[in-house]
Amino acid sequence: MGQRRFILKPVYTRLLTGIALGLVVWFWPSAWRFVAPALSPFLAISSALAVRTLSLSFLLAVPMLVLAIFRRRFWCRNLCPVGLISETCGKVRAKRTQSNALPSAFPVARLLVLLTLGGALVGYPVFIWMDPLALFSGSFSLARVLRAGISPLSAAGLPIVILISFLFPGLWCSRICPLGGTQDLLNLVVRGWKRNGREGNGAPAGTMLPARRVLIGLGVGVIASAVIPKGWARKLGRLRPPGSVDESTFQGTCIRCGSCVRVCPTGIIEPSHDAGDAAGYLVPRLRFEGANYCRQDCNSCGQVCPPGVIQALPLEAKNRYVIGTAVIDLAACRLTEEVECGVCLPRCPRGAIEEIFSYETYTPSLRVLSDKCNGCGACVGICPPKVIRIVPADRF
Amino acid sequence: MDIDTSRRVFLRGLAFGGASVAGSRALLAQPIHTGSKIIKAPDVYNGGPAIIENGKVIQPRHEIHVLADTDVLVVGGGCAGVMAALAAARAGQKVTLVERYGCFGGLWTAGMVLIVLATHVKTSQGLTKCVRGIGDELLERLLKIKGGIIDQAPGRRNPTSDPEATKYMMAEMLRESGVQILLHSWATNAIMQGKSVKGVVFESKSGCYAVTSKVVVDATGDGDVYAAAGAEHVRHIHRIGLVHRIGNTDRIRPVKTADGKMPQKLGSDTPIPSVLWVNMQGPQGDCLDVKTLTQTELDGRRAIWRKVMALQQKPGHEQIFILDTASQLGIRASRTLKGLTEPTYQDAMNNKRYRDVIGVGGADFMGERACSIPYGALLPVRVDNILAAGRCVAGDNLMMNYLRLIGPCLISGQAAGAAAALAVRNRCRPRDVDVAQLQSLLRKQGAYLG
Repeated sequence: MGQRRFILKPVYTRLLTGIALGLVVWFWPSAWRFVAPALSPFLAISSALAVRTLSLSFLLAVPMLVLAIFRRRFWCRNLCPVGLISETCGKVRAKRTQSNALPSAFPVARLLVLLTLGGALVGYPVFIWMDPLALFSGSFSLARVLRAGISPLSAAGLPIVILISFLFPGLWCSRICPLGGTQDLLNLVVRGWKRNGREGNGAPAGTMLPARRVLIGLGVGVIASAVIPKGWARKLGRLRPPGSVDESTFQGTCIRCGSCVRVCPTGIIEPSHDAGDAAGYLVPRLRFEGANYCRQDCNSCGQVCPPGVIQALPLEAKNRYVIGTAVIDLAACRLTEEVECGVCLPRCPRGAIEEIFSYETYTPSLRVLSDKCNGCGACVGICPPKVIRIVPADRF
Repeated sequence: MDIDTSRRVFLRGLAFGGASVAGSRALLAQPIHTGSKIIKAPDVYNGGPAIIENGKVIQPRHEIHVLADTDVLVVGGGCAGVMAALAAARAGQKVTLVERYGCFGGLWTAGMVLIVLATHVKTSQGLTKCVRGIGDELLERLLKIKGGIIDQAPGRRNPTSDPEATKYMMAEMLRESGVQILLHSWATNAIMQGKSVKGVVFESKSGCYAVTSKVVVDATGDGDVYAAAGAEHVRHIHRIGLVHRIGNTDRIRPVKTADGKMPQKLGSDTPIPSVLWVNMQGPQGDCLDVKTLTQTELDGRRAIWRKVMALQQKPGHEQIFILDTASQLGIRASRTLKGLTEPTYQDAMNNKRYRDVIGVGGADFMGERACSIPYGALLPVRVDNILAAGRCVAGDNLMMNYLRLIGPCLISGQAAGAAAALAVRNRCRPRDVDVAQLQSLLRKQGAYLG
């Protein structure tokens, strides 16, 4: 009887969780897409360290934090949507092969967490994007990414986890997942260290964590993050969503969850997918096209960013935030050639383009008022010869 | 002498005042010399001179002579007005067209905007001709005149026409369709009955006169009539240019510049092989301010002369000369109507299709996309019996930059004329014209509604 209950209980829990999550999605469809990543204590701690700001959304991670300390891996077994998927995949595989033996791999997860936390101290949490909730959320971008003609790789995190789960059942959750690693570490911090101090080297592997290893992990994270990626980040000038923190922290702390990509009403945010941009791969950037620009009545992207690297600015402040500055190639501008145009002037929502007339040459010319232009990009798409571009603000 | 004249005018004024009170319409006759003969001719009457009252100049209150009563009165003989008059006349209504200059075409001919822009729209499906119907008929007939038009051929867009050929052909088409034409008359006021326009007052060499009508089409470009009628509208400041043509351009000896490049072309081709057309953007200004217009006219002409005289000093360019400057300033925008429907740039970008579409078009700033022009853009919100046509129709600040081009003016002109004819035929207000009936009439007249 007891045996039976032990087997059935997780099934019921999972079923109930499934129903509960289903109800949440039914009544609050955006919950998955924006709120799920905010639940992760791994994300909350590393991004709070990196951005040095505590955003309100981190409050969502507090219950999970407490849960992780007292009920180790409760989240993974009962609540985590990726865990649910991964375990299901693993079971399918296990039934076929009957080989449930896990390769005795080093628990990468804890190392990942330590490296990330170390990196976070210098503003570059290296593996933050591996958070399962971020990967899960990212997979919701698939439809939009396909529509925009961007490589579907940007939504491939979850499929990769599924693939790993098929090949090596259980490997992801127990050994790689940094959220799992965070829970283990937290649990160890509260309980394990004390025991470790008492029992010396007698504790079984996985339940002890020498302080030396923690320090080495953090140290390597600090050094690697401080030295390498910043050099990469400097090279490529990218237009970032309004409210974005400094470029290096932005690239390092962005969890690639795609929330901003999906929430943007004009679809100007796209995951970066250049081959030469490894450090900033899948980090959101702006692309202005047609009638699409950063609307002056919208600050949605900042409201949904789980790690807060796109700061949640009030509308006023968001419109003051300088994404970049419009630069008009006057030599190729139609007005210079006395051809009917000038549509960028009425298009600019901030009146930042000024027409100046030279009575000397009796020709008009355009000038961008840098104190008014916030780089919203409205003028870019409407320019018929496409000679206006937004030069990103320098935020290194 | 002066005193004598004014006393005579005053006395005649008194006499006329008495006569009109008595119900007489006869104008006083004056002796006129024809060669050696002296005959009687009707006098110009303006209700007597203005007077000064308490230091203010006061116009006398007086009856206005009604020169004509018509079904459809089209004010303005620019491309939109000509299209409106032709469309209404061909739909069987009695049409009067009043124009302030001695020729038709307005900014196209007097303003020498020779490139007929936005005749086609480029979409992902390729080039679509959107100016069809009467507008295209005009362009095709220009093609039959030697030196009438270039680039009017399948696969080509934005043809360049000859202004004289256009003036001639517009007049021919109007006369063929039986439109009553009044030239050299400047619209000064609307005649209102409640919120309905009943006609328009004009000023001319024959003095002040009125034309009454069942429906008025405001094709003044500046929306002068609907503004006088009290229709709500938006004022615009835009660039005011003055275009010109230069001749002998076939005699330019190309001299390579210092960096080995061929010099840039001085203008765009016209139907006359040795003549190039030169556009001017000009400074921004209020096109309804007579001082601005005066200054722009003077500055613009001086700029052209200075530029061409400097050009004549360049080696190889000695023979070029200024053929002509436009007799009408290049007014781009002054008023746009607050219409029942206001087409906006955002709507165009969202590919909005209006139920009451009267034409399709597009400009390069909308990308490769066709936009539709609604009938509601020609109708004032409050005032009745008047339709806007041409560049003064409703549209937001960006759409106005498309709607002011010749292509859409041809489209909205024809639609306004057809709608006016239907309103007269069905004895209804223009806003109550059955959209399906209007669209069917426009299609019958060859228009393209998408």
